[in-house]
Amino acid sequence: MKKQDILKFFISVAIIILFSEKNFSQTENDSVVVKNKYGIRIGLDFSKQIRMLTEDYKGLSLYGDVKIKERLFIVSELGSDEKELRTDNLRSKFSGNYIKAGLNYNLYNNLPGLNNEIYVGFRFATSKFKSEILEYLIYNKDHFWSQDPIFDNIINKGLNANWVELIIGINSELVNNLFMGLSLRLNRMLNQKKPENFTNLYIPGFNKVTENNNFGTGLTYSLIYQIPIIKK
Amino acid sequence: MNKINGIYIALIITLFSCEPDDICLESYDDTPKLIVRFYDEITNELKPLRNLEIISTETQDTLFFNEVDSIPIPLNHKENFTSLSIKINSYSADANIDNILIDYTKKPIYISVGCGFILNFNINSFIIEKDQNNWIKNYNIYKSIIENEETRHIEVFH
Repeated sequence: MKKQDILKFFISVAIIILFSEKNFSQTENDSVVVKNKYGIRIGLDFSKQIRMLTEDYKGLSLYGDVKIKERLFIVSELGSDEKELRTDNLRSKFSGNYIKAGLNYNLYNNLPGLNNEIYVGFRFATSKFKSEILEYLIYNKDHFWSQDPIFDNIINKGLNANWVELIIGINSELVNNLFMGLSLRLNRMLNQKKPENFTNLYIPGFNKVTENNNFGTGLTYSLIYQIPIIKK
Repeated sequence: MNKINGIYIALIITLFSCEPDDICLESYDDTPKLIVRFYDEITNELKPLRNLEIISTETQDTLFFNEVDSIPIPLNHKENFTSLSIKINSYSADANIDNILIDYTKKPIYISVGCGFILNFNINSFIIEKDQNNWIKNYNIYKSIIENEETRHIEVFH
């Protein structure tokens, strides 16, 4: 699929969602007065802290969203990743920052007064990062010479990547104004700047890049706090 | 809330799904070896050698060839030179050893996450140590860049 086609797809989805909004409105003529919460929500993706316990990984991701319509949220995420990858023949490190922006659309029909979401969404994402080759072996099928690792520390700076993410997820209100969120993401690479004589095995925000494949996956587990500004 | 619980379970299962193994596939070519072919010093035609041994001066590790008109020599990837003894007619009275030194520059080439890097070489010089009876009469660097094993890199005349 071409980049333009993907753009067209997302724009049309966004337009459909925006204009079909009225059909879903449920509370306008209800006799019960329901307080719908609007306002800015901020959060932290704890899946990164969990990964830090089990992987050679450091990361932080902040989340923010604003409800602009009954079911529609503008979402932005920004974060930073540092990941070390090890295979038998290669040890490398990827680190950098990313920003993602897009929309969430809530599909869940809440009971009056509740604020849970089962949503679909998309993000445009961009990342700036660097890679380091820490250690490698020279690949030889026979070992006439002993296989000692080579420590060259080759650093590739100024790398970048752009991709889109399709998301399904849930946010449920645990206690007043505090939400727990879980999301699953399918990432599709649009373009990436690869270094000479190496490749991007991991991209901050995108996660693992598999060879000859433009797709990746992601997962977030967030705690989100709502700063109440407007109550209608 | 049942609907939400179901989605939680589905998401958690995906969390523990496995990652692909980053193994090195055999189909990738490894670091190319130096290909040496043997020619007659007078007629310049291919002339095979018998019972040929390549001995690393450093480790004394040995490669043995029965009867060959060309040999692949693995170059030392830790140094910028490889020092070898090439013995012909091993196990017989007319055995003859020549010491050679190959001097080169190395260039790492990225292959894949599983295989890591291979090396390509650029031969700077090929030196034969003089002794009373060198079996190597002459040599010619045919191709100084070692990127693959498809052609000979050095021609040795004997």
